[in-house]
Amino acid sequence: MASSQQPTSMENLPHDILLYILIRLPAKQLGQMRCVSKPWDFLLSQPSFVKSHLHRSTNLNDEIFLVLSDGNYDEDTFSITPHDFSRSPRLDFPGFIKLPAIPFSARNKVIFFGSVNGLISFGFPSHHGDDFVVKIWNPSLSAVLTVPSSDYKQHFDCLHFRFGYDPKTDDYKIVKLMSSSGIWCRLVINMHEYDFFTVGRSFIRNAEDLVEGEVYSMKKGSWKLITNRLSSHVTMFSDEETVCVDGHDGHLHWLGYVEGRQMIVSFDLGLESFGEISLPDSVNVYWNGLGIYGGKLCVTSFSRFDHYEVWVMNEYGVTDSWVKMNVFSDSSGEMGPYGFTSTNKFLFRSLSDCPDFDNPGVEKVESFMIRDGGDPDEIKIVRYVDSLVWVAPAKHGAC
Amino acid sequence: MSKKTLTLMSKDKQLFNIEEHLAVQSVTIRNMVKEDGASSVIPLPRVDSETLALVIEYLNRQQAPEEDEDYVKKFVDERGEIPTLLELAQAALDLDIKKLMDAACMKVADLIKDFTLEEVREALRIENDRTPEEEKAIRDEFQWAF
Repeated sequence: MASSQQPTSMENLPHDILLYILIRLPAKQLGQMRCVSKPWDFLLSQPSFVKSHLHRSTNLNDEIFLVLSDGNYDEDTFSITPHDFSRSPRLDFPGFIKLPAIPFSARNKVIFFGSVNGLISFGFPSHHGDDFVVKIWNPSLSAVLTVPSSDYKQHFDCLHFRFGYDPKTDDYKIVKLMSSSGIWCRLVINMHEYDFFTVGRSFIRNAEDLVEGEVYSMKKGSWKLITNRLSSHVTMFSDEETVCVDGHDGHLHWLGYVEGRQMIVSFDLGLESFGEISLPDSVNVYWNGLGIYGGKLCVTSFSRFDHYEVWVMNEYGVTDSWVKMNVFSDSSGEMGPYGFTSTNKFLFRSLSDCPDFDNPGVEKVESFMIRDGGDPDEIKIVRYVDSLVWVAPAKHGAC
Repeated sequence: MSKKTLTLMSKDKQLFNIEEHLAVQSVTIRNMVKEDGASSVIPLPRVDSETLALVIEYLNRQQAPEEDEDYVKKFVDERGEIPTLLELAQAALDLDIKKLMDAACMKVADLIKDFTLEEVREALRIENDRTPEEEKAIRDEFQWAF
């Protein structure tokens, strides 16, 4: 098959050129290309190649957002919103994205935990209601990993999940928090059929409740108990992230209450331990969102009737480094901010015009309409990133 | 600015003249010129004359910066044969002409994008080093990808 008369063959095709070509192919095809030959299989599964491919996909101008609604797992309502689509004639519209098959009875109980590097994590109660099925899904590869259940069998009534990436160990992790009697509020998945536990985005804790945590490492393929527990003085915390940008740099964040004060509760995915970060002193209690702006932790705070403030923490973990970046007003009173995208676009829902920014360090402000309202509490907005990040697919029945 | 001319020599010893201010779009040549003035012939031992002719044609383009992107695309589009594009990409890599290399690689990627495995093997002349049994096993493992 290899022809000796031809000047160009795999043998003398420089490695660099091959990489430059392959990196431009869609993940789905590269998945198939692992079957081309053994050296290709090796090359395409190298973490360095996967990272370079991801880096390139992330930096393309294409911005396609998937809107994932908790409790609403249905092809019909799964919405894909392309932005700047005209700039990418090469990228196939991801019409191939299909939600992975899950039991019909679980569809109204699905909850999305988060998304990093093109992977999306979600879960739903198992058929018998005695466990929670957790998935990591790569829509570009149509590959789904069903996370094994934990050996930690103590019963908990309340569960809460988050998903993130630790760049130090190049590992994807799911954090699971469990409590026996706290109250999960806002979006408590309707569990009337299996009245065993509740899952939600926010958690109010009774003073004496113990919150246990476990971390699943995709690399290790197993769960591990968090030894450094969530401090007992955290009385409430909630996942305030609608636009999924958190958890890319090895930290997860929640807005919480610590001894009656609002704080940011953080989790270091590498060290697997919790921490606390103070909010800017002058931030009003009517906060509405945590996010990442330009790679830095930010808080979007509703400061008075028609004003929002955006605060950015310049130096991670240093309280004195909070800086007020923007103030924007919304005279209509009908705006709901979703948050900043990884390219610093500000997404919001509005029935009227763009909000009025007085200091636009923001690249672009975009009204983002979502069918059926799109309450920020019930949706996750995920940027679709063509990603080769490998999740071992189920042996039987690909999605 | 005086229009100094440089001479490039291909693998098969053919000589090509090009004005220095155009040639230095190649970072490799720019560095050589900086180092020793490059008064003599610059040998390019890995680039054949056909490919070098294309590279020279590309370097000689007279394009306004805003039209340049389109020009590079069109330039590689018109040379849509995979072997030619691979040679061009390799020459552009050696000479460090980023735009040309990007465009040539992108074009090859576009061409093989919808290829089957067999077609990719053929286009890039890759030997299938798996036995039929191994091939079946890996396809089974990756069946979800197809």
